Amino acid sequence: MAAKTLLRELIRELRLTNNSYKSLWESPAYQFILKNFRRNQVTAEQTCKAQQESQYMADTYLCYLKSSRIAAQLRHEFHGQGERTVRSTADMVGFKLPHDPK
Amino acid sequence: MPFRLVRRICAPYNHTRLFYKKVSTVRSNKDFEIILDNRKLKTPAGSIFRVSSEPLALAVANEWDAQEEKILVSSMHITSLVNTILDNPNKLLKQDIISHILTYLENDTLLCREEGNIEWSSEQTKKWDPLVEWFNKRYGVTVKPSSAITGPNLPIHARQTLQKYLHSHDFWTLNGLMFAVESVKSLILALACVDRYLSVEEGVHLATLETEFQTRQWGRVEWAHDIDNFNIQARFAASILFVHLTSSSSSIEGKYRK
Repeated sequence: MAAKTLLRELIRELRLTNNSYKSLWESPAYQFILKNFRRNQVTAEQTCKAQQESQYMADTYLCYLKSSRIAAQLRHEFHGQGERTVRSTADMVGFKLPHDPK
Repeated sequence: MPFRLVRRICAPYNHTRLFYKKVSTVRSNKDFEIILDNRKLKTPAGSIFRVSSEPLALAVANEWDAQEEKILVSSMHITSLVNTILDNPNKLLKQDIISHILTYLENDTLLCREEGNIEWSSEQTKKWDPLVEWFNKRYGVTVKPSSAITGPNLPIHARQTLQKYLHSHDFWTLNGLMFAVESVKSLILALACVDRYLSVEEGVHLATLETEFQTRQWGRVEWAHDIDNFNIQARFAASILFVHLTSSSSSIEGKYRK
C-alpha cells in the first residue's frame, strides 16, 4: 500500500477509536504516527530499512485496528439480543396484538 | 471459595461499565504507564502496568480509548498480552515458552497436508510449498510436509537450530511470538511475518486456506466465517506488532528523541 493511502486509512481508524481528545491533533498516537511518516518521507528515495520496517508496522497496526473494528461490528450485529418481546415477535410473523387497532 | 476471589476470577467476563473519560500515557523513568483519568492502570494481579516502548504504550492507550459504554477486555489483545507477561499467571519460564512454540512446529498447519481431493492438494502445494522452502532457506533447516497421520517428522537438527534461534529473543518477544503462533497454528507463518516476508493478511489467508477453499465451494456465512477471520486477523496482527515493538524498541525510541 502506498504510504499516503496507508496514512490516510490509519488516521481514519484512529479517528474512530479516539474518545479522549476533542480533536485528533491532540492525540499522542496521531502525533507519533505523523512524525514517523514525515521522518521516513525524507528517506523515501533511498533503500531504507527503517522505512520498510515502519511501513510494515503501520500496515500491521492498520490491519489490527480495522479487523478489531469490523469483528466488533459483526459481533454486535449478529450477537443474540436475548429474548424477543411479544411485540417484536408478533411484528416478525405479521400478527397483531389484542389491543392493536384492526 | 470466598466471594471476593470468585469476583476477581470472573472479572474479565463481567463487562465493567466505562469509568473513565480520558486515556493518556506518562513516562516514568525509562518506562511508560497508562493513565485513566488520573489513576494508573494496573494489571489484574495489582502491579502497575508498565511497558518499555512508547509506541506500545500508545497502542495500549488506544485500545482503552476505543472502548464504549462497556469495557471489553477480550477485545484488547495487546493489553492482555502485556498483562499476561507482567503477571505471568502460569509461572512460565523462557524454556517453557520455547518448547511450547516448538510443539506447534511439529504439527504446523503448513506441514500437515491432506491428499485425496486433487484440487485441494494442488492448492496446498501451490500456496504453502514456497513458504516452506523460504523457511528452510532462511533458518537453514530441512522440514518436509507430510500427509501421514502421525504428522511430519521434525529432524533433530531443525529442532535444535530453532531452539537456539528462539533463545536469542527476550521474554516479552517470545510471549508475543507464542500468541502469534497460537492464533495461526503455525510457526512458519508467524516467523514469516516477523521477518516481514509476508503481510499479516497474507499470513492469515494462508493459515485459513482450507476454510477459504471450502467456502469457495459451499458458500460463506458472514456470522461465522467472517467473524472468525477478522478475529484471527486482529489477534495475529496484534501479536506481530507486539513482537516488532518489543524486539526493536530501543531503535524506535532513539529515532523519536532525535
